[in-house]
Amino acid sequence: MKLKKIIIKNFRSYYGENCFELSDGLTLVIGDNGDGKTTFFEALEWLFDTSKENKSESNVSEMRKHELGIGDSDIVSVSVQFEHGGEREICKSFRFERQTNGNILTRDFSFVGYTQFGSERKRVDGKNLLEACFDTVVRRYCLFKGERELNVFDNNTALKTLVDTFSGIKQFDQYVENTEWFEQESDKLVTRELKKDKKQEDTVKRLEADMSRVMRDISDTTRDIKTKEKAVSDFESRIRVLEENQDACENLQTIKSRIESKRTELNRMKLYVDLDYNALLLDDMWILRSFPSILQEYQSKVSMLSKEERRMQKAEDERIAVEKGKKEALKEIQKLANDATPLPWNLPDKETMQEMIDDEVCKVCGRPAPKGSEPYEFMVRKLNEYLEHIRQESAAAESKEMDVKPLFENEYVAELHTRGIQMSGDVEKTISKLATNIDDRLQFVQMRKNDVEKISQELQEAEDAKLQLLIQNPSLTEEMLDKTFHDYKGLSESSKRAELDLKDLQHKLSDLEELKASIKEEQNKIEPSNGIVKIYQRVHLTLERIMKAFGEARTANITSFLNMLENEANFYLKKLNAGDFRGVIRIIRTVDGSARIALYSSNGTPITNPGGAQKTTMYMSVLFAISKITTLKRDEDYPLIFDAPTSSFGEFKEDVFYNIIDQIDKQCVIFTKDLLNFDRESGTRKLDYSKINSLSCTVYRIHKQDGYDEEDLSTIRTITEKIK
Amino acid sequence: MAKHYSNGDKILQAVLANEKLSQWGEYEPTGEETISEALSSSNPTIRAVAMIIDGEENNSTQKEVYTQLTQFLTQAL
Repeated sequence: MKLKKIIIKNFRSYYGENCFELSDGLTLVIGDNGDGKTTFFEALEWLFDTSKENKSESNVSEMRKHELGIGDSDIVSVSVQFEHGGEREICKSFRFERQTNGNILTRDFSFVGYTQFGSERKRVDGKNLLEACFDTVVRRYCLFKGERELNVFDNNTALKTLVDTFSGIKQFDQYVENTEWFEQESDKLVTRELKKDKKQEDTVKRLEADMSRVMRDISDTTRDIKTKEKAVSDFESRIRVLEENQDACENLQTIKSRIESKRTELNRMKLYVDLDYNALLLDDMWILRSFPSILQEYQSKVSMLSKEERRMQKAEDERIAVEKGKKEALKEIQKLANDATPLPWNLPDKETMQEMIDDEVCKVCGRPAPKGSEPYEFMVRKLNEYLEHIRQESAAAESKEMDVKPLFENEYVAELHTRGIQMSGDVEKTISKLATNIDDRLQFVQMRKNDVEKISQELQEAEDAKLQLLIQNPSLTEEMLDKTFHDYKGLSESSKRAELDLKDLQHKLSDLEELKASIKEEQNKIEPSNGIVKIYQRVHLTLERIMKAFGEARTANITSFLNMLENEANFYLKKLNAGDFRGVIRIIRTVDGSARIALYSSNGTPITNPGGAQKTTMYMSVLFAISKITTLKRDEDYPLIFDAPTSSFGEFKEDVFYNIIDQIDKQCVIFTKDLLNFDRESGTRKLDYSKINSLSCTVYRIHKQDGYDEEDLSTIRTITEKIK
Repeated sequence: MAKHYSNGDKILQAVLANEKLSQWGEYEPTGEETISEALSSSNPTIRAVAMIIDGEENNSTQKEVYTQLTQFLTQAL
């Protein structure tokens, strides 16, 4: 079966008709979260669901519904065109219509198929065609949603289903059960007939009693073995769960221990940091911590003041000296021309002088002195000299008063200087020592504060690591992980004890089976007198051997299937993990008749807790193997369809993975958000063309149409774009 | 062209391939046995195995198959 084309119309976010043409190998459908990958996958699930006529309105495109006027209608359809012994198509659809009350009515569900015979296209029942070409059991191993669904051995009946489906021989169990019953019935008949033989009666009765006892013991032992097997299986399951979580448990314990140690350290550091500064300030004189620098500043300022005082005093002294010199010079200027002794400055007086000037007469000599004449000018000058003298005298008197007042009346600067000297020396030394001690203490406290900050950060990191660990293991609580850690040792010991007990019981059963066989042999050796009993005996022996042959054939069939599955799975595991450690896949039968997939190192060491990517490639390898076996057994190939199978892969692993899947000769459709890069400029994720171009497969990009309203479903539309 | 074998044919081939059974029944397994051929086999063991498979395929009860089987073997052996 090769898928050729998928057409999705008006199915949820797929508005209108959306066509996907698939390649024979890999087809990638790339979309981010919410872009419609899972909707695409679910559209296929809806198409392949043959259990009911599902025409639910929830599958209708909200955008298309929103556009419909009263009485308008359209259809939802999903169809697949494929090759399966010729061209085939199946199409599932229903009509939806807006009614007068505004509600949407869905009707006309249809599931049809088409087969092409030459140029004729024949319409057939869709369900029948699907089951004929792609039956339910095969579909179970072809469609996988997420990584969790990849493990095909996820339940107790998985092995039987797989063997019945893919080993090529079905329903062996029923034949084995039938032949066991035939043998028992035949045995009863022989025993009953032999007891009728008088010659052999005693022997038969003894052997029957022995056989009865042995069978009872076998029954009891078998029951005990089943109980013990159940216990061992339970222990194994629990230990496996514990082992799977062992890393998480150990990590949690390490983190918790670190958190505890950091908390203790933090509390210790906080004791150093939490000081009563009020008490220290006054009681321990921390207030004087800055004394040395203040004293220094004080002394510096006093020195500056003293210097300024001396400068000002010197300037004043100079000024006084200049004044004195001026007075002496004036006295020199005032001497008469003939060196005669001048009159006192106050003769004649001011009033007399003014009168003579006004009368323009010198009343000393009696001669006239008209205005502008020399005598007149003399009198004016004399008056002016008089007035000037008065002024100078007055100024001199004032100056004399000032000379008497000193520039600095008090000795403040000297006092300040003295105070500075008092504060220095021993006092300064003592207080400096105190300041040094305080500084040391503060430095120590600051270092501890830095420590507190660092430890708080480390504590926060440890708390974050713990939270992260619990987020990574959503199914486990902290209490469960703690319990697991403590339970592991006890469980391990109990499991070992149970395994030893089981081995003892198996030995006992083996001995009992041997005993039973020897009794049987003895019974078979009894020579009946009656010929017909001899024939019954031979019939019984034949049925006994047939029963054993059926049992052994069944075991061989399962073993052969598992070996084939293992070989094929390891072939794909090698491909999917090219250039990386991969281990070896083992499919181990469990006591409850099922199987589990496990990864082993080639030296036989089990890899108890493989990483996410390792697990995924392991499960996918088994799926590829099943698919290949299906192809071999049914002469038909089937596609594998995965929705987001690589969530746990790192970027490197993704690249390798897609490159390898691209080269495998198998039709695969993978829906993924890989191969998208975050574009900082636009804030969106864009296709990584460098990686895509290195692939030869078909690539589709699906994304939400721009301009949608985050709260309005009717604005969401998935846009499909074929990239290559 | 490869011969198509039914599920019953494959079971028959797997059972008849058993070495101990072939020694007991004195036949040589070919690996190509079919139910229809085995039902008319002259070898009682081959035919008995075919009857068991055929009975189950035809939805006969255990009792019915057992009765037919023992009747046949009683006469054949």
